[in-house]
Amino acid sequence: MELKDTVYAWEGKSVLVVEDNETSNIYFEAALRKTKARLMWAKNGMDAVEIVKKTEHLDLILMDINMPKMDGMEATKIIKDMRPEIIIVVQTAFILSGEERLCHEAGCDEFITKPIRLKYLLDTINHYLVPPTKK
Amino acid sequence: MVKHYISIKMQNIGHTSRILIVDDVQLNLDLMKDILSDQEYQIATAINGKSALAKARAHKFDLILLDVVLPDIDGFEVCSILKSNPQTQDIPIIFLTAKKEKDSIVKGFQLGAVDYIPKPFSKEELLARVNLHLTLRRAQHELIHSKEIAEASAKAKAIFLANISHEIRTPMNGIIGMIDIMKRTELTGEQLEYIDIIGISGENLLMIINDVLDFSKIEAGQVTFERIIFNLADEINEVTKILRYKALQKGLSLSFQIAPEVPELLIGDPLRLKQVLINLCNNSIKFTSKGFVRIQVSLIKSDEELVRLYFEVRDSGIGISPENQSKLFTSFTQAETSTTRKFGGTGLGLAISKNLVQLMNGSIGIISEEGNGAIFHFECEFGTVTQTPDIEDNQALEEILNFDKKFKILVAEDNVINQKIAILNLEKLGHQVLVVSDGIQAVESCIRESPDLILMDIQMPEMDGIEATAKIREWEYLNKVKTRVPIVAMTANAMKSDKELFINAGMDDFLGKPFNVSDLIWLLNRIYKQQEV
Repeated sequence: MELKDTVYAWEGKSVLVVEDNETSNIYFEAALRKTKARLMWAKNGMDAVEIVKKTEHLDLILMDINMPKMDGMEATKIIKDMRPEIIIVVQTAFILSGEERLCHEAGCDEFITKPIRLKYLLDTINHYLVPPTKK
Repeated sequence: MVKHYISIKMQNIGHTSRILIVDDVQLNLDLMKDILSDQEYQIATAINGKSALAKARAHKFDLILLDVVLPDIDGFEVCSILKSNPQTQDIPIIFLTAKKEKDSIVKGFQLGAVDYIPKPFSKEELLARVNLHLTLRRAQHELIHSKEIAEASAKAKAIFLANISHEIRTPMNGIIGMIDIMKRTELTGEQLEYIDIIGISGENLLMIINDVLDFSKIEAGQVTFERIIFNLADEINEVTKILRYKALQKGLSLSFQIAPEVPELLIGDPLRLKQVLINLCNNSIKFTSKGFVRIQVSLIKSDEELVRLYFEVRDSGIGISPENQSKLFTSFTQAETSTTRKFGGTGLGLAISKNLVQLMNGSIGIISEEGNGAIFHFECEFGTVTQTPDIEDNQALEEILNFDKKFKILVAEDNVINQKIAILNLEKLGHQVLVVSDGIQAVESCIRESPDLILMDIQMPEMDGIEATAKIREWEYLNKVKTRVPIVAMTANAMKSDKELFINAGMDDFLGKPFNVSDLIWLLNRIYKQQEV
């Protein structure tokens, strides 16, 4: 597999996973563990906003849309307002055309749909954490 | 689950009809009331215009009988006031008129009345006309009501499908995602084989879900088309790449051919085009057990604005009988029910393709004989990419090629294909290339990297090229930068007035898209010479 040829090394980078589905969380944990990135977790938009407030160093957020308390769209708006430098990658099982536009309007940087392809996920994150020109 | 609420406006259909009679002569009022109250109507009366208007606003009437001559406001005016108020405009009005003159009748109709009854009236005529208009009104209400129900249920269906798709995709994420993860662990050959089978089944299931969702989107009119520049050969190559494995498994050859006169670059939605081709090829592969599947593209016509192309997917499969050909593009129908059992599939692929092609201003069809292969063909329209003239002056070109200054070039461009074209060409010339995909990143990168040159797309998300240029110029001014960075506008719609706009925005030069290597060389040479001065 191609994966083994590419090394994703994100040591010193921090990634916040915002996701309420337990299976998805297990998936992200398994997918991202080997990259050595520091992983943080939130189960809804409100918790995500709180973590962003408390965490000084945060590079990227993987944001689900459909969550209890506060959805990902709203959380994205609030977080981008406070900390525009944090990259937000929306990951959702909603694939209607309007959804992607709304997420971009909310300020997200990337929009990926579930089911997620591992290589695509890692490449997308890598693009932001390790800018291609500096490789 | 996301909740969506739908409300159906209920129309009051079954109630006793309410009639308002307006006449300034009490005797007439009593007479009409008498005639109509034999029927099961609720009757209200008014003796002048003002009271008629007040009553019409306060109660919901199904019909108004309106005398023309009234002491305060005449009947015509009452009618036009009622017709201009959204609350009362739908109530049918019948004029009661003693004047038999044609023009007063015509005036009544022009103001929106549905009928007139000449005075003195007969009991039978009054009843007949009142009944007719009440029946019409009831029928109209029922129609509106059914239309609202139909619209609401179409909407409910679309929402349901979107929600169910979300609910299915979530566990699919667990299945397909974890297969990827599992493949990264130590596995025996046997385990790997089983995992692959689970993976392929997962992908098939996903394809079916996508088909169903796509179909519902088309039905609900929610499909949108992109308009971007794309390379046709690249996209078709992609199609064959995706399907090659499937074809190989059946020992079929899968190839494509594009006629030389077909323009290389087109404007349209490459994803949707690919979707149609994949559907057709998939179908051909499914029904072909040996031989080939071939895509052919030829040009029908092209002008400065539009390119019309003819696509063909030809196979050496089992073919389709004429009576089944007509059923093919209908949703949920395959040639025969037994086909579903034998070959699988939702039967939606071709229906989706047909709809997508129609939305690209084209049509789809089939030529086939049972047992003799099939040709699926369609036409569709794309935008023309206006080519900047090629520079043929080779001598001058070579001369320029010899200059050895290498630039650090920042490319701000949101379209991935255009990014690739720019990177490939610039790196070929030995320059260092930095790529960003919106205006904000362009400004940040310019400040951080201080490039020698910026190629700036005009239309970008977040911040467009014009605004980004202004921000960069402002930053240079505030930081007292001596040599300002040359910024070159890149855009596909090269109008003369646009060029002025770019220069006014603080840009130095202009590059029309799509550009080729020689355009770039000329540009770099111009910039180089300007810098020397």
